[in-house]
Amino acid sequence: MFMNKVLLLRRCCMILLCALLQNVLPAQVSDTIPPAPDSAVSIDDAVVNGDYRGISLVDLLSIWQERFGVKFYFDPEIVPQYKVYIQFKDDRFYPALRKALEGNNLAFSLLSKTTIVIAPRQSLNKEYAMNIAAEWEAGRYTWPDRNLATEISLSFGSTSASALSAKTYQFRGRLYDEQTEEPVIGATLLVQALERGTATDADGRFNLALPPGKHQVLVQSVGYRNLTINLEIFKDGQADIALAQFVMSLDEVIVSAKYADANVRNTQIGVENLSVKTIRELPSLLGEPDLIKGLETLAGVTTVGEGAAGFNVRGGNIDQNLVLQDGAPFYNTAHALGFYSVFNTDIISNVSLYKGAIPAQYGGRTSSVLDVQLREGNFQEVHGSGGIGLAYSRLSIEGPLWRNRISGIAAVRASYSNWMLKVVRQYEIRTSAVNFYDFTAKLSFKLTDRQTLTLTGFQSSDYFRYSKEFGYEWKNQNAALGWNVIFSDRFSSAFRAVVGKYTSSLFEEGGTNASRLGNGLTNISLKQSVFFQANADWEWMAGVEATRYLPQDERLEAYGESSTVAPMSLPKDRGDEWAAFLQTEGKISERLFFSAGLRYSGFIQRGPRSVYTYQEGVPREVSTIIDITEYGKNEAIQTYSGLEPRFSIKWQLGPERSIKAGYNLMRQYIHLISNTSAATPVDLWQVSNTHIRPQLAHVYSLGYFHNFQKNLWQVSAEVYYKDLDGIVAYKEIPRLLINEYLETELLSAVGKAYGAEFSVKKTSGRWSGQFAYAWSRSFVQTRDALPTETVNGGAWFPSNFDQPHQINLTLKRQVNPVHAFTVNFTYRTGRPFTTAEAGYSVGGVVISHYSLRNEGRIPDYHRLDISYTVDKTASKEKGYRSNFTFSIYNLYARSNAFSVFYKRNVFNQQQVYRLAVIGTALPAISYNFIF
Amino acid sequence: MHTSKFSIIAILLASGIFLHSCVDALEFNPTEGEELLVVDGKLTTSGEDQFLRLSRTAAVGRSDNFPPVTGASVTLRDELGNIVGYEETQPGRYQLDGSAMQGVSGRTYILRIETDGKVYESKPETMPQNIEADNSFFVIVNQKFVNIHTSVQIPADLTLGPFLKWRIDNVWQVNEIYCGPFDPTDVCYVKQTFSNQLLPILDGSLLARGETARPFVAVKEADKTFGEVVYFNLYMETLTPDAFKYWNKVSLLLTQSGSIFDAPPGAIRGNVTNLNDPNELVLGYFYTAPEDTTHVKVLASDFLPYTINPYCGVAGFPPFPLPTECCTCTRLPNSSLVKPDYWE
Repeated sequence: MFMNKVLLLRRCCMILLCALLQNVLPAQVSDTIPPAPDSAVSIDDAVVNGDYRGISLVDLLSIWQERFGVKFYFDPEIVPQYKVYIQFKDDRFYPALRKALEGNNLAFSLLSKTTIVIAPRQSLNKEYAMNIAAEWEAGRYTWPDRNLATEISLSFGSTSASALSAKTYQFRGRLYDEQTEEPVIGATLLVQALERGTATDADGRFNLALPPGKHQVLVQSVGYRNLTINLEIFKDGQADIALAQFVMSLDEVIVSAKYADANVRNTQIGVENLSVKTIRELPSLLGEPDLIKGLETLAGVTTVGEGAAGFNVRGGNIDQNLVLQDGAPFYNTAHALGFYSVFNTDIISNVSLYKGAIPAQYGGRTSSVLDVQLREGNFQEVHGSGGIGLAYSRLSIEGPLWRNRISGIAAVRASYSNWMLKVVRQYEIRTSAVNFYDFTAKLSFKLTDRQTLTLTGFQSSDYFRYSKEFGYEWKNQNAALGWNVIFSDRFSSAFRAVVGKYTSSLFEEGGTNASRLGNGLTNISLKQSVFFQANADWEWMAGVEATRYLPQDERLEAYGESSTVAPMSLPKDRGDEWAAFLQTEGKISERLFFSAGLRYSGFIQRGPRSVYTYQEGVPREVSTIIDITEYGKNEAIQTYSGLEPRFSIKWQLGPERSIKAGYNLMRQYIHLISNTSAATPVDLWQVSNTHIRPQLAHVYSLGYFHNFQKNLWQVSAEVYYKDLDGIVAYKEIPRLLINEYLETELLSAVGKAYGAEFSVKKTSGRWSGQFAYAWSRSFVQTRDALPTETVNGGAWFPSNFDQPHQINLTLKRQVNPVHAFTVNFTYRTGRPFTTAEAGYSVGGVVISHYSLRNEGRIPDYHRLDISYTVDKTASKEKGYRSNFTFSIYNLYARSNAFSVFYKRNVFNQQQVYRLAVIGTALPAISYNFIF
Repeated sequence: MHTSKFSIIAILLASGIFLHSCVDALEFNPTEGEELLVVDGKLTTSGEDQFLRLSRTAAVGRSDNFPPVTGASVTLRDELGNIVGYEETQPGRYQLDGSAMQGVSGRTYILRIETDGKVYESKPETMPQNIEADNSFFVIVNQKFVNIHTSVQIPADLTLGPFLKWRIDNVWQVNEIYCGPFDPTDVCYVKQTFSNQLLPILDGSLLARGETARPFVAVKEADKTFGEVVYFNLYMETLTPDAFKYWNKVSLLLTQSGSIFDAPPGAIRGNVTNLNDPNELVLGYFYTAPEDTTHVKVLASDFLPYTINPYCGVAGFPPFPLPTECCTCTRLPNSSLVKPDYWE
């Protein structure tokens, strides 16, 4: 966990250095403050230019008062502290002021040309203006505490000949939050005169090499006041520096630590960072924000349908995604069928999705890595947040357990959606039940100044029951221990131990068939990584990891006294996965950067197990077993291993343009045995064995990234090609549960996926948003199967996840700092569907005949959602704050197909029908709060 | 099967949560495939005449007139070398004289079909040992439905199975009312077959040996046919593992809802192959199965009073308008004045 963060931040350091070297600085307030007008120029002729972002309106007025020689009078309680996002280009002063005030229901009145009273539009009259001015003159009104930059002075050594003879000195230290004492990650330290800078790592540490002398170091970080350090350096020096927070909403506190131009600067291709703020602003089903649904707005990330668990990346299956939360893997991320996920957005810090180039420290999956990092609790004060929605509510609380030493954060979500079922007339629904909860807790220990320990625990439970007949239950439990040690400014280490358990069951209630069928997977993993920064341009990471998979026996148990079901237990394959990896990232020239990794992974299937040998050249069936070999406990049965090279290269075409290319080879030793488009909770996780080979994926990708207007606009285009081997395919209508001879139902297949993704993003301003289009294809071929067992005669056929066209458009209109309007449009090609080509009668029933799998497609999916947010969390710095979100999901009531099936029509003909579970517009309201 | 259950949950619970779901027809251009041969037949131990249907598939969108295969030469032979022929009694319907060859447990049979110059044969099927049903019984659910169950003792010495399949029909009684001095009040027995039912099958492998299983077999809405007496007739067949595998796939196809939680459907290859072209896909199955019959009697008095209205009304209160069948009950389809021999 730590090393992932370290790598990200280190990479950010490089990005920043590159930016500095090429004289490209992120847009900042200090850079955009227009120069003071010539004293001879009157205010009528003054011109305002610049890009004001991230400062409050009060700050803006303060700056203008100073620069333009005007005097503002206003009621400090009325002029908000919200941040403004305004661009000016050759605007006259008064229109510029009007522009700055609009949206806040504020207006101004001139007592003289340079004496300006600002007041609510409706109350602005001469009498009011005079009263306000009088309050100021009497000193009863003063400027509010402003979020302007502050200054400190630091001095190391003194001027001497020897001191001046050195080429550079190291200015090291750590930036931390003044209130919480948490490290400030990703903060930049810039010496503009030298065009030199650095950024803090995951522990807030920095190291800046400077020539001897006096320097002005500007420290900036999103959410913090700018700080200017007047530095005199004549020897190496170290300082821990506190940064003061801006007044800001909780959303902005937990925004992903990422540079505005990371898309261009990052060497890795196909890496997406999603901010929690963005997720929360998206219109959502029943008003509940969800991480997975947020991911699905990105190009190349799709789902097979409403209510499907997990997500599909570039045509891959959901089991090809490694999903981590603080380093602990999830094997089922679904809550409530899949309409929600297990991730609680209240306590998420960072979300990174690797869908193209995947660094060597990640492995075991062939499609993508979703790395979710949780926040640490506040080390200083107790805070909390929560929300109340139609389907579930959530609450999180954080604070110090030992001030400045130990902090904790805990969050819980619980559903109460049964009330919705109770109001339905249909008996089966009224007597059904759907419940879930999840609980997450994280403890953070500052062992020493250079050692931290974190302990994360998670538990979730889902329960569905259909009437009084049958239902599903599943649980996720995991715990992760992280221990990070910083040996020096260049050398650090991260250790992680994870224990996880996933269990699921299908139960039938009542009668002689009453039973409970359960399975599950326990995993134990250890990972040790070390990080070494050779110099500003070169970094290394190395490590080892091992995971033991202990699938629980498939169990069938009688349920109730009247059941005649015979209990049985079927042992499943177990095994050990291990890997060693080395990753390096560096700069070849001023324009050419690379990231290279090598992972050597292996897997050992272990006993106890009876392994069946089947006759060659005939279909694999129970009747074709020719030998049985018994293996003892922990005895090695089958071993697989191989190299996994990873390589990315970036050619920096200009300050805001780059081309990237990447190649990955990945191996996957655990497979979700699921023959459906969307996985169900009781689908088996099966490790590779004698009959099931590991999956192998060669991934090639190429992309062009171009930002405009100082990263305000971000455009990218990527193409990729995936070549897969060892994909698990299935014979026609297989039996996958409680099957001792599972391999008789499986086929080995190859796959290929290719596509192009195009994305345009506007990152800030009154209008912001993203347009993403992806064209992707995904195919499977059972080329090695016997002629009678091949699917579609051994020809390539579309995989269940082949959805060629995907469009996502998200637009946000920030009406004013409190009110925001968001629109989200989603379109994707209908998923493949096996069409019936004929019908026939047998045994007194009429059934359909299907010959070519996935030959047809269900109707295309599209949907428009809107939401309106009234967010007052930024209205004050402390205390209870809240926001409302009103949303309408599926605004134009599109009846998107949940299922497509054949049925007799009134003419007794087979007819295709579509069932839409959400065939109407769904309004919702949710209430969120922080304190 | 579990995926179908998940589909049911997904559809119904989602419908419940979101309070709105809808079904509408889609325009779809079906793939036009060739008309495939469909074999639908069996051999039982009942000693009654056996029937075999030969037909071809009909393209989606067309009505259910599956083209019959006429003029075929059909024979059945056993391991002893006995060969008997089928006679085509209706287009595509071939009949085997029950006295000519009766199924015997433990004996292996092969069906041979010659049509259009091609020769087809079924894989050898060995008639399994018969599993007897102890009895059958009914359960009335909410006075609205009648669930039919069978009691079967799972043999203690059976290692795999039993694999069971049921065919069900019912016969209900109609008492004519007084329609005039010259019209006698007859009693009819009307036979109904269960159509559009899910295929009742059971894999007993997961059931405790030596215990009695009581699987649910069928359900019928409690309608006017329960106004007097109804008999349910359950014909339980014991299948071979291969035959069960086939019918299980048919059953899975029938329960599919086409949702994201359903496995992709596929062609169900039967046990009949073209001897000249083994790659030709032949649909359907010819199986051998011992058959055991049980009857369940349901009386109107088994329901709460006034919940069931007899077809011809209660005494003195005929329905309006009066169905003509209440004066001449033989007008009802499949009705007979002959009381079945099991009728008590």
